[in-house]
Amino acid sequence: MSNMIILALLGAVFYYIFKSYNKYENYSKEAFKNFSVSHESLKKSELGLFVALVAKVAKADGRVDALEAQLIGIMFDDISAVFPEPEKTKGILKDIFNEEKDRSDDLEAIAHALGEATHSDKAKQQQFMGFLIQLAFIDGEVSKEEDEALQDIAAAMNFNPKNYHAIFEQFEKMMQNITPKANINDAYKLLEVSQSDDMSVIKKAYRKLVRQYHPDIIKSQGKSEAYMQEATQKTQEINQAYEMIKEARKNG
Amino acid sequence: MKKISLLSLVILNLQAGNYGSLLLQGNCITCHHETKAISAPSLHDIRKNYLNAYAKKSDFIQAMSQWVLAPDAQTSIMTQAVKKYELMPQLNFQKDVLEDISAYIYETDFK
Repeated sequence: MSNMIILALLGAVFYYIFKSYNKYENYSKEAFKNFSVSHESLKKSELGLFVALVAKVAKADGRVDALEAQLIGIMFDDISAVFPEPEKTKGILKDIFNEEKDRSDDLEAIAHALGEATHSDKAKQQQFMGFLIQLAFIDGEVSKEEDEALQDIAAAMNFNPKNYHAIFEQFEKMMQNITPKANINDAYKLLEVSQSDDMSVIKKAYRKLVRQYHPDIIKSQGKSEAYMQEATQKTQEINQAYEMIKEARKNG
Repeated sequence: MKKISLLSLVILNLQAGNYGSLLLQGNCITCHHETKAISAPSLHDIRKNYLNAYAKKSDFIQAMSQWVLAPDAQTSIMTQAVKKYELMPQLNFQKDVLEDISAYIYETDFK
């Protein structure tokens, strides 16, 4: 009988641990409900450290291009939505981004801290790394500076080099497999707009689709490793269709 | 219903704010500080000059984006600044990106 009670207790303990671990894994609102939002606390949190690294990768090649800015803006929305006081959180995330984008001296320390904070959760590390790599790929090709920043981050995070190269190569292959739309009609179709639509309508449709299909670091948790690549591919296709229409209208 | 559309408008604006501020922070701030003139005039100054010359938002956006696309001392509305800091280099941004940044500057009171 006492064995049964001990077993039941053990079961309850495991269930509790599993459940709370799971909650945290998935970055739910529930997991952050007692989080006190401040510049200090956010900057030290996993997601704050991650935003700092995003800033460094985005700015590595000297400029932040339109699609990068859009994806990072959406990322602020995604992350702040799981914290209490989303608007305040978003403001702080922007501040962290702006402070960190031009600094390279603390890149290793931040990457190391993120590696430490997530060392027991390899799947999460994989998603973080995948997001940073897709960000470098999203503007077409990875520049030398972006490549160096990514490698420094991976090394400081203690990220398995084999896995890093595997993710990188998968993105490379995926980018090669995207064939630009052969004709402009397909581009209009992809954006779900018509030839006669005004550019402002097309821009709105484009923005909406990017928001719908973008690589989401919050949603990525618990998803397969292919998630980041698929989302990046879809985003890239939407962007190429938009660029194609813009170009055609400029010349037309 | 009205409430919902108003709310979605507010949300859309906030999202646009993310995007505009990221483009500005990522590409302009290195030379143009928000309030202090360092190696180039401050955003506060530029905005004031453009607002004086182009009060209407669409004119403001068109003039600023067109000038930055191809900076020209002849067409500058800030000739003193060009003399002091030299002409802004041509940076090869896309016109629509410059328009988005100009719109953000129009909307933002740099203090």
